[in-house]
Amino acid sequence: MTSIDALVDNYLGAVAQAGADLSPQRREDLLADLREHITTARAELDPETEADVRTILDRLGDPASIVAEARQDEPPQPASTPAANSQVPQRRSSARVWIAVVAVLGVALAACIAAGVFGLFFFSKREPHVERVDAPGASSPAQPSQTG
Amino acid sequence: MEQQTALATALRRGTLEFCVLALLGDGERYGVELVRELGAEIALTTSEGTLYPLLSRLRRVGWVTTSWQESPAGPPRRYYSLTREGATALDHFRSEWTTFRDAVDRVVGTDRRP
Repeated sequence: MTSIDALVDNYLGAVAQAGADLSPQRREDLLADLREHITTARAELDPETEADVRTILDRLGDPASIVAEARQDEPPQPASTPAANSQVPQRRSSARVWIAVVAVLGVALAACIAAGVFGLFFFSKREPHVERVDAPGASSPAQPSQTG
Repeated sequence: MEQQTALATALRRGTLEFCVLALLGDGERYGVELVRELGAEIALTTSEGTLYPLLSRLRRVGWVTTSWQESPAGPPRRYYSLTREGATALDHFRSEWTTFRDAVDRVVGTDRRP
């Protein structure tokens, strides 16, 4: 009897260890569910043998994969400190407004600079282009005169 | 082999909880009973223990509720039953699933198999 209890304790201990990173409430929920399953299943055994209890535990399965399943629906950041959490969103929201304002101003400034640079670039390119259009016309009649 | 397991896991996710709801739609069950019934369908579960996190989630979202009841032998058992919200979710899943399954069957060609 005691060796069977130890078997169960070891199993639940392994689950607790595998689930060390779960939020305390999730871990306790999981352990309570598994403990209850084992208790109920053991009560259904007429003469309880160690082999039967091992079968119950085997069918429950690998502690790591059970915990992996529980981890899946765990929120990314468990709300362990509600007081700290309630302050963070306010700060974040005012920070977000500032980031948005700075971003809008930044984009506007960048657009102005881009327009200015583009304008300068465009006109500085266009002026010599206008000259070049004229240049062949001016140089072609000059070429025969140079050669001749 | 690993990819096959990943596929089975992906298919299970999102459908298994509705299998639980459907079983409970037939009538309330206690944990061991429910988990064993699902475990008997090999394609549905990896191990009995992995169903408990799922049951815990269903309790949290309010699709199932539990109540302790005396057992003829041994300690009281916790019975799971479907809530009204759970029944609505199951109905919704049934119609979504039929549409989804038919579309997959058409595209993948599984509807042409004898």
